[in-house]
Amino acid sequence: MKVDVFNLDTQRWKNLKVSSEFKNMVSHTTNLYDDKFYIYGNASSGGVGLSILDPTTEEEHAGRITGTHTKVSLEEIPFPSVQLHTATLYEDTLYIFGGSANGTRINTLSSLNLKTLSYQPQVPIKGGTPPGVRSFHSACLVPNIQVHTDDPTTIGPAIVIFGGFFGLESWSASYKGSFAPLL
Amino acid sequence: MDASPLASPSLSVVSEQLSHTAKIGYPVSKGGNAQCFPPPRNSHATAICQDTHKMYLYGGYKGRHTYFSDLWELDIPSGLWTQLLPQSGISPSGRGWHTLTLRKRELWVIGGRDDSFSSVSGLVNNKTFFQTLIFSYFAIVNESGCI
Repeated sequence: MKVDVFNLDTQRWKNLKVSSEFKNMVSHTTNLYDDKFYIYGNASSGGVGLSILDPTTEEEHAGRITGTHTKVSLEEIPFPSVQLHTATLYEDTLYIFGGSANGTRINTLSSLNLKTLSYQPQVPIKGGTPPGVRSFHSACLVPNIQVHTDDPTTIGPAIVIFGGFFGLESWSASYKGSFAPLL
Repeated sequence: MDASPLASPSLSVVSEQLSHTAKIGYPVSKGGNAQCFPPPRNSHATAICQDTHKMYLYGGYKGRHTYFSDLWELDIPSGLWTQLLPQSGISPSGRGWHTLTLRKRELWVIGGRDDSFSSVSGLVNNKTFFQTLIFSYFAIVNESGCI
């Protein structure tokens, strides 16, 4: 896995040498949780799953930025193959939506509790119509907000899913998925 | 996949009200008419620093199997872009389909494809690169954000 780090204070790059066990990923997602990077998606080798990259190293503790022999603890856990998805962190849980799984675009919402590493393949939806299948979309977490419609309501926390790609068509609609029905 | 970059760079913001979107225009430098903003691209990665209200952009697909290796900073309140340029050394290779994550005061570029990808896998998996030390020094060029 190629990992480069830019320090905003020292304004310089360092290239981290990571274990060869750490397979490179493309079209993956990265979320910072408990000061560790949780990297989810397909690896170049064909392996799939979750890699946990612990950035805390002796070199960093000592204030050195050498870019050499950076210690990376890695843990790989088998999960279903997916890429071009989105992963939104809410509290201790990663909500994974859409993407491409084995060459097929999906609109599945799955969850992964990062505290317990328990995986739920399909989060039950208790209301509303989920977005259609897509990849190359975006998703972000929004706090409690008031939606200005004819009937103003407060939603959230919610995942807002925007755009994406399906075949020759690109989407431009936004979807709000409230966590309320999920909890 | 061989997507082409957009015809022109654009940045849209979806407000918290979810009912309003705004396109951030191209800022004009303080000292002239030069415009300074990232060239059009896709498959790039961005990260937000909520404390400073800045967004960072790294890399992306340029088209024709080439990738950007530039790092940009957007001051969201003012809409001004600043390219963070290397003063010496070598910047990381161009990259697409990677991720950019802010951890404390560090921007982590993880994975993705680069310019050197093979026609077979198209993936960054070059052990030689892993053994190569790359040091680069970047500095903000000026306050206007123009290079």
